[in-house]
Amino acid sequence: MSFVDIQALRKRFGPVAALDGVDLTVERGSRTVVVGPSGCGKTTLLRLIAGFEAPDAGRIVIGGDTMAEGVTAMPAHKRNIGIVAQDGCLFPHLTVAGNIVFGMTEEQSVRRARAAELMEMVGLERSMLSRRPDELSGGQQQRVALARALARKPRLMLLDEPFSALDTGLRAATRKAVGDVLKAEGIATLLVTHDQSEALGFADQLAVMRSGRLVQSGRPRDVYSRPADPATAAFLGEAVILRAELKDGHAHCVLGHLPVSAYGSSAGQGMIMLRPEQINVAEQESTASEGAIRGRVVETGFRGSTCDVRIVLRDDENVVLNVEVASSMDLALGQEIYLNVTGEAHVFG
Amino acid sequence: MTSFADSKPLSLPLPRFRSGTRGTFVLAIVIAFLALLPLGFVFWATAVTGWEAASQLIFRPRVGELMTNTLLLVLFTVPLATLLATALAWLTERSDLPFARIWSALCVAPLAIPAFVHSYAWIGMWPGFHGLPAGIAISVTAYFPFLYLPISATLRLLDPALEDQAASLGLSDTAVFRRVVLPQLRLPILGGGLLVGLHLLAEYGLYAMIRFDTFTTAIVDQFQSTYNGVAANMLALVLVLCCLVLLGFDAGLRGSRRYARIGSGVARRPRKISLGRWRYVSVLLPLAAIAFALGVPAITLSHWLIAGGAEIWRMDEIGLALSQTLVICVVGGIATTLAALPIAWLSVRRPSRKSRIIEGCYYLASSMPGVVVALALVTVTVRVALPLYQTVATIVIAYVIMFLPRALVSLRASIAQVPAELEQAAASLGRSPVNALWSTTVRLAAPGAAAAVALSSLGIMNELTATQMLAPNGTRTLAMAFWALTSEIDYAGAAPYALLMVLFSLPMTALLHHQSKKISGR
Amino acid sequence: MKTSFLLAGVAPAFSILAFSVLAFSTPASAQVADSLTIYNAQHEGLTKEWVDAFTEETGIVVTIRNGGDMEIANQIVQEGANSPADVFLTENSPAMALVDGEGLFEPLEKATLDQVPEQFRPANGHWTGIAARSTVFAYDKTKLTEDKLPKSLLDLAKPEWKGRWAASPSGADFQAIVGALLQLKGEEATAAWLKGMKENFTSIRGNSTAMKAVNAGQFEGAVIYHYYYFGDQAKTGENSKNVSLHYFKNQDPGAFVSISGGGILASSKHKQQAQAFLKWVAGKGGQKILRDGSSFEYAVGKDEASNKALVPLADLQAPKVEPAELNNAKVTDMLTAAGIL
Repeated sequence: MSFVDIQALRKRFGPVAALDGVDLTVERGSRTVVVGPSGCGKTTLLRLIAGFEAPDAGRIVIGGDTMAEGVTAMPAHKRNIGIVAQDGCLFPHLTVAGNIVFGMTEEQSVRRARAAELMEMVGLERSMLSRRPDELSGGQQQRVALARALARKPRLMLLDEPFSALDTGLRAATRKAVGDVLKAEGIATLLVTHDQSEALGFADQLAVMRSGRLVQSGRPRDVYSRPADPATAAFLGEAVILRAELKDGHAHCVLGHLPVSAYGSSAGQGMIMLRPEQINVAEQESTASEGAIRGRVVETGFRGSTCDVRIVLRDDENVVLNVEVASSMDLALGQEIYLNVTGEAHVFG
Repeated sequence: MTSFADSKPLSLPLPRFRSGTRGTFVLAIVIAFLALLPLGFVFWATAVTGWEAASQLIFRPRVGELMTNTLLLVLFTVPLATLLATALAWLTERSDLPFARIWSALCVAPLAIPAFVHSYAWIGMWPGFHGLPAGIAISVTAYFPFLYLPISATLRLLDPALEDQAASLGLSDTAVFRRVVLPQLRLPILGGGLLVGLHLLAEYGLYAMIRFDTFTTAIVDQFQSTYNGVAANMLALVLVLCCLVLLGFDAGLRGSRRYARIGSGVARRPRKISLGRWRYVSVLLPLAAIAFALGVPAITLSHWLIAGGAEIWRMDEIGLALSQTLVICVVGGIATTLAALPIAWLSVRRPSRKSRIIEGCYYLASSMPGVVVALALVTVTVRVALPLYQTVATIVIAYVIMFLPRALVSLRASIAQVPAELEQAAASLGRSPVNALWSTTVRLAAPGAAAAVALSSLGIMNELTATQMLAPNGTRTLAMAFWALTSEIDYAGAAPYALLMVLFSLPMTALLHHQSKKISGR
Repeated sequence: MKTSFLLAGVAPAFSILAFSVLAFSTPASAQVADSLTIYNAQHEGLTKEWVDAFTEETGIVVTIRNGGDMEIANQIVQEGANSPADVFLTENSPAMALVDGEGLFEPLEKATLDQVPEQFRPANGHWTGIAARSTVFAYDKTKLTEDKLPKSLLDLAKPEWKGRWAASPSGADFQAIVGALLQLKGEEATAAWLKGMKENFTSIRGNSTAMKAVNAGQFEGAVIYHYYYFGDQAKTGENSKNVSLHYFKNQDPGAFVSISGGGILASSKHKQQAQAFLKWVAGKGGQKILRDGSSFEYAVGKDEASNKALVPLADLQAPKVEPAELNNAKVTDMLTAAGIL
C-alpha cells in the first residue's frame, strides 16, 4: 500500500465543487507535485490533507492511519503533517527561534539545540535566531518556515506554492535547497504549484489537476510528452496541436507523415501533439532533412540566447507554429524557411 | 525639477516649496503649544503654589482615598472590559454565533449613549446601586465598545493561515488562540485599554451620579466650591500624573514593534469556528452585555418618557438646547478637523522625527481630562486673554485640545490612501498646484474629513464638564440641561434630552462601525 | 505647493475662531441695550419663574448663566471689573458676603431694601435677601421614631450616628450650615464636629439626591433644606413618601435659616434694569412667586406670606446668625482639611 492513499475525495464550497472525486497515491520518501491552473482545487486538496478542512466524502490514509473518512476528520494538530505556505506564514510576534521551536514540546535546551541544528540544515546563520521575521528576506523566511515545519519531524511535508513569491534566481536556489533537505531527511513531500517548470523539475510524480479533478499523473517526462488531453498539453508547455489522419502507424498531417507513439483504436481522424523542440528550422533547403516543409517567418521576438519565431506554412497559411530557435540564426520577416520534425508525434486518445 | 540656464525662472522654485513646508510645521507647532496649555498650566499652578502648600494639599488622607478609588476603578474595569470585549469580538467575528452581524452592530451601539446617561439608567433601575461596584459595572458596560471596535477589526484582519500553520504544528484550538491569536491582539487591547483608562480618569457625570468619588469628581467639587481654587489645581496635578503613568505604562508594554502581516497576497477569509452544542448557549454573553448596555438605558428612558408624558417636552427649551448643541458640535467638529489638518498632512507626506514629536504632543494633550483643560483655559483667559473669556472661541479651543486625535486618525488614514503621484499627475495634466491638490487629495480625502468632523462632534455632543465650565453665558447644551435636571432628580424631565443625545449620536456611531468594517475590507 | 492649500485650509479654522470671538465675546447684555445678564446660583426653576414673569412685565430680556454659589462668587471675583454679569443671585448668603468683601457690589436702592426686614439683609445695603430656607433633618419615618431623632445637629457627630446619615457637602447649602455652626460655636467645636461627621456621614451630590436616598432606605436621615421635601410632595411624592422632616428648633445650629441673596455688580452696564429686577424680585411680584410657585422657599418680603404648606418662619426658633458674616472660604478650607472635600 502506498504511503499516502487518497480515494474519491470530494469537497464543495456552496455551488462550487472544489474537489470532484480525486484519487492520488504518494510513495514513501518521494516527491509528488500537484500542478494546475489557479482555482483547479489543488490548494483545497492540500488543506484537506493538512486537516484544515474536512472533506464531504472520500478517504485520506497516511502511513496506514486514516486521517479522514467521509465527513469525519482528524483535527490538523493531531496529524503531524508539516506545511510551508506561500509566504512562509511566520508568526510576526515571535523571533526566528520562537518560530522554529513553536511546535516542539521538548524541554528548553533540547529545543534550543534543535533550532540551531535546523538553521544549519536549511542553510541559515545561527545568529539570525534572534531576528524578527520582518527582518528577513523572502527566501530566508521560506527557509525558516521549512525549519519550523521540520522541527517536529513530520511524516509528510506539504509545500503550498512556497517559492512563488520569490525572485526568479532565488526561487531556483531555494527550491533546490528545500528539495535537498527533504530528500536527506527522507520525508515524503507534496508540492502544490501553478508553475509548470517548477513542477516538472521538482517532481518524482507529477499530478495534473483541472476543475477539481485529477487529469493525469505519472513521471514528469511521460506526462509532458504524452499528455492526456490538449489542455494538459498546453498547460505543461508550448504545444503544436494538429489534426491528422492516422494510418499505418503514422500520422498524416500538414507537417508530413510522422511516426506516432501509439494510437490504439483511434484509427482514422485524430489530434496529434508535437512539442516545439521537435521542430527543426533550416534556412536553406540543402541543410534541411529530406521531406522538409516550407514555411515563412511572420514574427520574431529576440530573447537573448534564443529567439521566438512565428511561422506560417506555405501550403496552408492557416497553420501557425510557434517555435524557438537559437538566436545565432538571424531570421528576417517574410523569410522562407524549411521545417523538419524529429521524434514521435503524440496522439490524443 | 530641472531648469535650464536660459529658461525663464520657474514660477514655483524649490526654495518656496520648502519654506511652505516650514510654514505648515510652524502652524502644527503653534497648535501643539495650544494643546499643551493644560499640562503647562498644571505645572505652572504647582510652581506658583509653592512646594510646601502643594504637598500639604496633595499628601493628605482625602487624596489617598481618591487615589485608592481611582486605582481600583482602573484595575478592575480595564481587565474586565478587555475580557468582555475580546470574548464578544471572538464570538461575533470568528464563531458561528447566530445573528453575529446584528450582535456586532449592537456591541458598538452603546457608544451612542453618553456615560452619564448609562448611570442615570442604572440608578433608575436600581436606585441604591453606588460606589466602587457600581462604578466598575457601569464603566464596563459603557466603555467596552472602545475595546470591542479595535479587537474585532484586528480579528477580521488576522491572517487565518497563521492559525492553520499553528494547528499543523500540533496546537489545539485553545492553544492556537492563546499562542497565536491573543499575542496579535496585544496592540488593539493596549490601545483600547488605554482609551478606556483615560476615560475612567476623566469622566465626571457617570461617577457623580452613583456617589463614587474619583479625582475628577473631587476636582469639580472643589471648582464648584472655590472656582479656580488652589486645591482643585493640586488635585488636577495628581490626575495629570495618573494620566502620564497610564501613558507610560502603555508605551512600556507596547514596545517599538508592530506586528505586520509578513509576505504578500490577500489573506483568506477567516474560518468560522463551530460552537457546536454551545452555539445557542453562547448567545447569552452578547445578550447579557447588550441587555445591560442598551436594554437598561432603553427601559429607563422609555419608563421616564412614558411617565413624563407630553408635559416633559418643553419644546422651546429643548429646541434651544438642541440648536445650541448642534452649533457647537458642528463648529467644534470643523475646527478640530482643520486644526488636525497640518499635522495629518505632515505625518503622511513629510514624516520625520519632528512631526512624530508634534503628533505625540497632541495625543498627550488629549489625554488630559476635560476638567483640567477647562481649569487651564479659565485661568488663562481670565488672566491673560480676557476678550476670549466665556466665548465660543474658548470652548472650541477646549474641544480642539480634547478631540484632535479623533480627527487626526481619520484624516491621516484618508490622506494616506491618496497617492502623492496623483497630485503630480494632475499637475502634469496642466492643473495649477492648488487646483491639482484640490482636484485630487482634497476630493479623495473628503470622506475621511467628514468622518473626522463626525467623530469629534460625537465627543463634543457628550462632553459635560468643560462645556459647563467654559461655555458662554446663556449656553445650555443637551448634556448641560440633562445634568441640571437630573441634579434636581427630575428624571422624567431629563429623559427627552438623553433621548436626543442618543438619537443624534447614533448615526455617528454607525459611521464608526462602518469605518472599522471598511478598514478591514469586509 | 501643497502648503498653499494647507494654509488656505487652516485659515478658515482661525477665521471661525475669530468669528466666534467677535460674535460671542461681547456679553449678550451689550448686544441688546435693554437686557440683563444674571449669574444665577439659585435653583434654575425658581429663577426661570422670576425671569419669565419679569420679562413679561418689563420687556427686559435676560440671559442666565447657571452655576453653584461659590463657583460663581469666586468667578465674579476673578473676573473683577470685567465681569459680564449684571445681577448675582444665590441660594445662600456666604457667596454674597464673598463678593461684597471684594467690594464688587453696587449699593441697592432704598426702595428695594425697604421691602425686606433688616434681619434678612446686611446692614450695608449692598445686597438683599430674596428668599429663605430652613435646615432640616429629613428622616426615614419607617425607621426612626421621633424619640430617636437627634436633639441637635451636633449629635450627628457622635459615634452612635456612624453610617446612618447623609449630606451634600460639595453644595453651598451645606457649606452655609457649616458656616452658621462656625459663627455660633467657634472654630474648634466646628473642626471637631467635622471630624465626627467625616467618620459618620456619607457624601451625596445634591440635596434632592440625598433625600431620595433616605426615601429609598439607604440612610436613616439627611441634613438638607426643607423645600426639597415640599417640592417633591407637590409633584408625585415618589421620592419622599417615606420621608418626614425634623426641625431642630431651640436656636440649635441645625435650626439655621439660610438667606438667598441678590446683588448688583458695580461693573454692570445696565444698573438701571438690574435695580429694577432686584426691586421686583424682593417686592410683591417676586415674593408672590415664592408663595404660589413650585419653589417652596420662604418669602422674606415685609408682610409677604410664604406657601401655606410650610411651617411658618416665625415658628422655626432659628439661631441668630449674621448672614453677611458667614465665612465660606474658611468653611471650604475646613471641609478640605477634614477630608470631606
